[in-house]
Amino acid sequence: MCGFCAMVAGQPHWTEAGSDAASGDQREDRERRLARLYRVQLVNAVIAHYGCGIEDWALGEYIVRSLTGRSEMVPALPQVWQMVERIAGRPVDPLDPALLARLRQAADA
Amino acid sequence: MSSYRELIPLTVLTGFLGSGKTTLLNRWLRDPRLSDAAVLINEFGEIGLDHQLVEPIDGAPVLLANGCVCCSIRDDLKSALLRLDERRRIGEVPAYRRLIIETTGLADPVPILSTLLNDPELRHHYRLGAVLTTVDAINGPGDLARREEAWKQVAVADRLLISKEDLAPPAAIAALRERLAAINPRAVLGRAADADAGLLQAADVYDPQAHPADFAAWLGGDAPAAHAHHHGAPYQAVNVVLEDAIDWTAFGLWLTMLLHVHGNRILRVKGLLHVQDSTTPVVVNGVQHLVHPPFHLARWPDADRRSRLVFITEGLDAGALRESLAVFNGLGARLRTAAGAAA
Repeated sequence: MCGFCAMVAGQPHWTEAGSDAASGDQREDRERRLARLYRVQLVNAVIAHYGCGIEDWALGEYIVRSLTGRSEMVPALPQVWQMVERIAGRPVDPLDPALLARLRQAADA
Repeated sequence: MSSYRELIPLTVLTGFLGSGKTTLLNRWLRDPRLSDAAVLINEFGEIGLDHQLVEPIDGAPVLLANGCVCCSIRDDLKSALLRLDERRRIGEVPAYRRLIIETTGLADPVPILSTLLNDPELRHHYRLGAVLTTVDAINGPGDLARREEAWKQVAVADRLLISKEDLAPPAAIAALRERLAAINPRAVLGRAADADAGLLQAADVYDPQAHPADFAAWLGGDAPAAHAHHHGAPYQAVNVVLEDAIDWTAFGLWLTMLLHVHGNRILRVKGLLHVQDSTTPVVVNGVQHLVHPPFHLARWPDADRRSRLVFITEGLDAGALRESLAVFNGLGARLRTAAGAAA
């Protein structure tokens, strides 16, 4: 338990622990921080399609925000998708042709 | 904290009623290689097990609030596993180094696997090794025709072991093998009569001693893609192959998003990925919404350096999966291009 934020510590989600998570996360702090910032950038590119955005919070949580100012704190990607779906009111589907068309055009934005 | 691969491996032995699980287990437990194994069984059948450490599992599954079958946590299994670990810790039982769970013949194996992968307490002590499924050569076809549990037991297996082959005509065996390969072409198919105790280690790709050849077998080697909905199968195997190296962060987004919305239709996902800036392949292994911690193999099992994924799924299209993964995989490069153009 973190005394500052009252969050229960646990094993990180597999997406947070690098591609060799089963052997323990061996990465340096700087590498972990850069990977996290890159993840935030990619997620933002995806969930803009649903009118949402995320921010990193203290390298431990994510804050999901809607265009109307609603915000929720979540621990990892599965909860990010749940929250975006709740805010958008429609499925968050990586097979959705409209989403894929938008992502293909990201370089033209 | 121990790394995932150093945790106690847990082999799930499943298979429909009367398919020879206990017979197989009895034979294995007489092998000195399993002298350090403990066994949890879901029911005591007519055949007794002669082993120093056999524990029953009691109780019923508990469904979580989200109502997803794959996320139903089996409290009975969790309690039995933690109780056994505590008894091991205080010396009441021998210091077993491997655990085998024999499920009931009627068990849907998915909640068992989800309990092992998902529970934060269990994940400190145990890891999922392999799923071994016995199939009766005589009654198997009928079980598959009538019972969804039998389908799922076959669909999630790493290895399929056909029992009573000597009692069935060759044509029936051939038809059964074809049917099993249609449901789960990536599972290694063998005879229960030939399956010795060494199989528990060979089928476990997380075992630190696992050989690349074992891994190639786990992924299915050169097995062809399944015939879609062969014999009316509710599940099919679809292969996704990507030539470009994988952006690991983008892959994490894609797979978690896919499992979030389609996890109920994906019984199993296995993969070997060529990740950017890595000389060794990454193993991906999941059951419905849940994914094992990934790891790097020491070396590639063969000359193929492409990223390969196989999904046992209900109704997802291979082309759509491949296209979606390719778009996500190129997202980072596109963002960098856009940032460069704007600068």
